[in-house]
Amino acid sequence: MTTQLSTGLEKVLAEVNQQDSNLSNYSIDDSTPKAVVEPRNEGELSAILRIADKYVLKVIAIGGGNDIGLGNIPSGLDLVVLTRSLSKIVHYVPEDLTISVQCGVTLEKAQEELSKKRQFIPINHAGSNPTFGGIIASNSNTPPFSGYGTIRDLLLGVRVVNPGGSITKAGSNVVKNVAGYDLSKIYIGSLGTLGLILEANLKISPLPDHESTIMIFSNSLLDLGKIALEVNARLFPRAIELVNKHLLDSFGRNVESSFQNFGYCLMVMHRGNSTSVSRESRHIEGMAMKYPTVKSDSFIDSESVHLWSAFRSILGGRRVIRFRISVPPADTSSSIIETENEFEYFKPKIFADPERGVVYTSIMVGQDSYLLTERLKHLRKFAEDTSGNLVLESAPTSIKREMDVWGSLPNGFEIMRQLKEKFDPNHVLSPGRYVGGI
Amino acid sequence: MIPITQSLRDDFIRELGREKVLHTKEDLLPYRYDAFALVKGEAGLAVLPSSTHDVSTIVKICNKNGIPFLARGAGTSLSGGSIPLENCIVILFSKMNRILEIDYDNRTVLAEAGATNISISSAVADRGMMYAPDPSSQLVCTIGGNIAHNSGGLHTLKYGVTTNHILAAEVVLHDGEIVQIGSKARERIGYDLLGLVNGADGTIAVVTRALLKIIPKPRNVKTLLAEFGSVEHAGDASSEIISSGTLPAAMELMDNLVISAIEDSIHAAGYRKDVGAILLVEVDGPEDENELDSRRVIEICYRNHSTAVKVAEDESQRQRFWSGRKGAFASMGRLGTNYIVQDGVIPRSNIAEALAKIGSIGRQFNLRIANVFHAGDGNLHPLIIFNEANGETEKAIKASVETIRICTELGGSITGEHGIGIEKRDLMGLMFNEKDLELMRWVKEVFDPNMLCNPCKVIPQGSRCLELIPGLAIK
Repeated sequence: MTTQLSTGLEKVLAEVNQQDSNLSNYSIDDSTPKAVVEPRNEGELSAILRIADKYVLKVIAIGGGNDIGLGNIPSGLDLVVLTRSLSKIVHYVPEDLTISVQCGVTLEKAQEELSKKRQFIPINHAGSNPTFGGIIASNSNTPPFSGYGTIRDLLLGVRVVNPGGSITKAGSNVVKNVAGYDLSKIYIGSLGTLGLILEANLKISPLPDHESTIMIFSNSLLDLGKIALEVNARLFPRAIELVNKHLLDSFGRNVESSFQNFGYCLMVMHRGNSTSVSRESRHIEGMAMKYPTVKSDSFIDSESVHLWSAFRSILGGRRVIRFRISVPPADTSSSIIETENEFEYFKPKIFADPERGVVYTSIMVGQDSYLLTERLKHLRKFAEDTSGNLVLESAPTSIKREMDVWGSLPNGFEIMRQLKEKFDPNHVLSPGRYVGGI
Repeated sequence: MIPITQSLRDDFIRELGREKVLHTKEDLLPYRYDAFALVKGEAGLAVLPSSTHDVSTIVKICNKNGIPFLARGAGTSLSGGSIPLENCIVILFSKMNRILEIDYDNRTVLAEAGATNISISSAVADRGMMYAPDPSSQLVCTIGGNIAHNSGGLHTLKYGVTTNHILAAEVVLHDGEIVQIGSKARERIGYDLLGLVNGADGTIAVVTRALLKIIPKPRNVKTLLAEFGSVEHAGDASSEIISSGTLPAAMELMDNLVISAIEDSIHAAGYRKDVGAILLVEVDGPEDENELDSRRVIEICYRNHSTAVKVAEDESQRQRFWSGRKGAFASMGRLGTNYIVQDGVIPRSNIAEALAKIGSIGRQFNLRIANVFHAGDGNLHPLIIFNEANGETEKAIKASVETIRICTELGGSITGEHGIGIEKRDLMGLMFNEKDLELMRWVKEVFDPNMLCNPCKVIPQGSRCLELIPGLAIK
């Protein structure tokens, strides 16, 4: 076995140079790869997967590396493939409002190119140099979330390198398409367990002229929940987020100190022309005024942009455990309260999208991880009882040893397992990291 | 093909009751067809389940006996998706058409697969909500059928198609197992099986219930009707509107042939018959944004040689503007005895070029081709007019394939919303190579290992499924 493995690796290294000899830099959950390669084109990537499949080398691809913490402990790791050199914008005709990018293109690079034509892609990410391959494979998007839709709504098609090295396409490059099975969907959030995304075709949007964000502060989560409900029922906000006190504290000088004593804040973002933006803002402030305990503050254009950028910068950090709860939207507030009750000791930073019922929490953990796993398990039970789920997005390996990152097996798991068998029969891609040990 | 024996029929009757099993030739006649007129199928039996349990029972019997089955909604598929091949058992959903739950707090409606599309929006209209996908057949087409074809509609330019508005589905798998995929929680874990079921033409599972998203109905709507001397000018205008940063809720283009047919029919909407094309544009944002957007649309239309732009002054005029467009397909009888409607999609910047090419295909085959389509999405619907009695069918099919070829050459798709079904199964090669198709076959094999679920649709399948439409295969 060892001989075969090294033969395989030698063959890979004959095709593509080893990128970095300090392999421990690329450890994933305490597993260190035996080689790290950085293909320069799709031919090299295809060759790597062909050899890896033949010699059963376990492969994990890394884009920006921001979301590499997502997933269970890999059941094996021989080769890390860095995709950052596959960084071409393949096709962009502004009039079509679509773009095709290679997997290693960074979000920043694409946004810069699109902004020249007053367009943008409605995806955000808190990390540094996130790539499209990584964003799609981990289905990660950070606030402001939006009325623009999720990655599922934006992805039109993909080209994929399959285990064995073949390159196939799924979906299309146009905004409407029902030709055959929509395979591009199953790569979203699949952690590269079915194939490596080589190119992605995505919808883009015109960059609006103006934006504003209203922050509504209160100690009553109930009141803010009611305001959120009213906003969603009557207006089309581009983003709506509930944040708790510990997250609010991190905003520092971006938020007036007198507001930082409140327990919660609802942030509502609008985009459009100057008249509509200011009218919608007034509208929301009017809704908020009906609640006597509530205060609000507004941020226009560059202030609003700065505010959200500050928000994203809060979300990262070392020694952080991050988890995401998805529940029916009406259960958003109770999920926040449940999370606070369970994790008060750790001063959790929480933000939630009440429109989608998704609650994100990050906590700092030092030596003292008092009953952490038990608490997470309690909270997961709460989420699953509502028909939702709790996913650990980032956690030390020690915690992953004690609990599954994804939770209970989803309905239809047997089909998922069989899909994996068909697409990656030798289990070379990201083995063991996905749902149910796929 | 396995014959439907008396004993098999008795199995169904025993499990479901006599009233739920149709078997006489007369009873089965309506289910040989759907809205794709070129092929007729043959139903082995038709069954009328009234519950998911019934559907599961039916599928179990089929699986045990190796009999293919097909779920059928209203039969409005334009690609033959609901035509029974191989003597299928046709599972009818007319008894499973209830709305089971409306949850305003979570903005969802739970409906059985046989519920009509319009019934969802109607049920929540008094609370100012709606279900966004609105195919032209929405008065009769069913949610199950919408999921099978991932249906869009006039307003999906802004709101998206079925896959963007479904949260969960209860499905019956090939062996009768009932599985609920998804829930009211928006983020699911695991591979996106719901994404696969959507748009699979009912070939991988039978959908019995769906949990749908509802959204607030727009409060301010402005509808504009722009007239042009030529269809190319209208096409250029629509491309420029999209690239200008305006995102209309709907944008539809009709050429002179279509306009004339509509005006000569009961769907007459008062369109001027002497114009080359009409572009219908609807914006539905906040009031002042609508003002700005409609001013911008008018400016772009005139810049692209529009001869007149009218703005609907009230709801009744708006309805009139739309009534012609909605009756477009039904008016085609004014132009000829038969027509084929195609459904290719092109990148939105190529509309004028594609229309010019379609015009030359018409001349090449000496056939009239009318155009009515979703300009905002680049989703073309060329209508190839022909007369079957004059032996023009094969020629019309060839011309229709050429219109599709143009779409793929321009980097588009062979179908935007009508689905592959039977019609385009043998044209999949225009868009996908053998390896691409192999991955789709893997999906089919995993979900439906015995190949019984709506057989011979979507993916070219070799010898078992013969060429269904002579002349359609890619040459």
